[in-house]
Amino acid sequence: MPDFKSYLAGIAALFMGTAPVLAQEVWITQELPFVELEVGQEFFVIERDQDNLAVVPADFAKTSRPCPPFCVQPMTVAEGVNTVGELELIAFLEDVVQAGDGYLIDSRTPRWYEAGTIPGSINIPFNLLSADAQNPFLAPLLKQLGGAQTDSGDWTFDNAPELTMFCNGSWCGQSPRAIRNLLSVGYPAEKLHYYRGGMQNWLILGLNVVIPES
Amino acid sequence: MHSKYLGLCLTWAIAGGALADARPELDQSAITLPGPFMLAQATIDSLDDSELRRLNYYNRRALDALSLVVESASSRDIIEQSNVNTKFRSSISRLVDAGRRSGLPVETVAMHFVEAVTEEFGLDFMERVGQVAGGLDVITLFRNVSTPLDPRTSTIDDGTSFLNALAEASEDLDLGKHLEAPAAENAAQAPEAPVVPVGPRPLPNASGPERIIVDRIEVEGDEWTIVVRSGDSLALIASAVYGDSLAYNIIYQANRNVLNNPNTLNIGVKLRIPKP
Repeated sequence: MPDFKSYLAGIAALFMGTAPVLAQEVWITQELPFVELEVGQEFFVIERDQDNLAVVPADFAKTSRPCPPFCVQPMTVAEGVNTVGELELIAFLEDVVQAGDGYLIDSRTPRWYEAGTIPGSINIPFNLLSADAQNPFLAPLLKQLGGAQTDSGDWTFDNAPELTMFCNGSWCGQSPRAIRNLLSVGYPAEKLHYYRGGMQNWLILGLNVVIPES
Repeated sequence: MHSKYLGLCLTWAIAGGALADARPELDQSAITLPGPFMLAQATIDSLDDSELRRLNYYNRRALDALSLVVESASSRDIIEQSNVNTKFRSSISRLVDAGRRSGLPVETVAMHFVEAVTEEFGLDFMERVGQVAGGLDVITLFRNVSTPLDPRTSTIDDGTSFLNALAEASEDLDLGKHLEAPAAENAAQAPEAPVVPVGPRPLPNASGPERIIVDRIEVEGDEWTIVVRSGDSLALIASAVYGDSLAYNIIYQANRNVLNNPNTLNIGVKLRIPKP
């Protein structure tokens, strides 16, 4: 027979106490301890790891992957496309993605995406956006992104959603490639944003990742 | 007022579970919850979908954190255990905070969580936790929490007032005669809650070093303090004061301003000891 008095007192102590033994110590900014978001029917939170001793996972601590192909990317990926950091990405999720006016796009291949991604992102692997005419995925994807094809085969993007794209980090060329491909078919540059820091910077800040449900 | 409801609700939960053995027709996995439980549910049901999603997100998170606490209860890695305990308490903080933002009183949130714990782990959960950890002290496992954004205060609720409220509430209860026995039992037990001593007392079966620690603790107004000497450790102090060396994290968390990590104590540092 369980010690019910202990059980009750335990649960009570859990909820009734007022003395702060803990406080959220690692905020995102001075004003922002964490972010709560709702995209579609899904609720999620973005916050930093509260463990002061946490370090970045080994995979993302590597400094010297072979280049090519893993080369240092420039700050400006293309003219008119602005490069953003974490705070801008969070604001983008809050103001644009939540409202249904845009998407946060993980440009990596599905294997990477499924291993953990930035909360709120969807996966459009960069190779699906290849501007190669042989690419059968391009047209349907562009249509999904609000594109319409004229008789001459050109694309127009009135009311296109705003996109923020990222991949593994500043040594990863996948999202820059995707961005340039979109530009080459006429996607408006002012609707494209490049989160250069990618997964690596996101993790270095201790920000949480989600394992997407299939 | 709210404490009364919490008391009522928990008594119902415990009473219902206690009878699962005596009355086999009670399906423990689908306990029908009468009276006060309905009240708690009604408030939660009044949340809109979005708020409900948020509450359930944090509820789920707290449940998962609790699973980890149980899993690591027998672990030898105290740093990992401290992290797990900390995460659990933090998750409860956030759950309470989320409830508050939806206008739910703490008790309603607590009820919702207790129901989920019961559903997920069964009513013998606490007993199993105790067994897994070789007698892990439930009271010290669950410690006072705050919401993440609260400013720091110095009051600590020792839980006595709650137990008294529970006793009061149980006496008022009209449970119907088949449920009276367990309720009366709890009501009889509750008033025996010990009076908190002014200074710490050595626990029964305390070792020599533990008694020395207890002797050295100073009472400064409302606080207990101890000045670190050579050979001291948070685990020893926790064992002396709380009867559980695994509760060292309590002392650590209360002294983050002077301690960088729980393993390094500098001689001469004055530590604040939260009362058990």
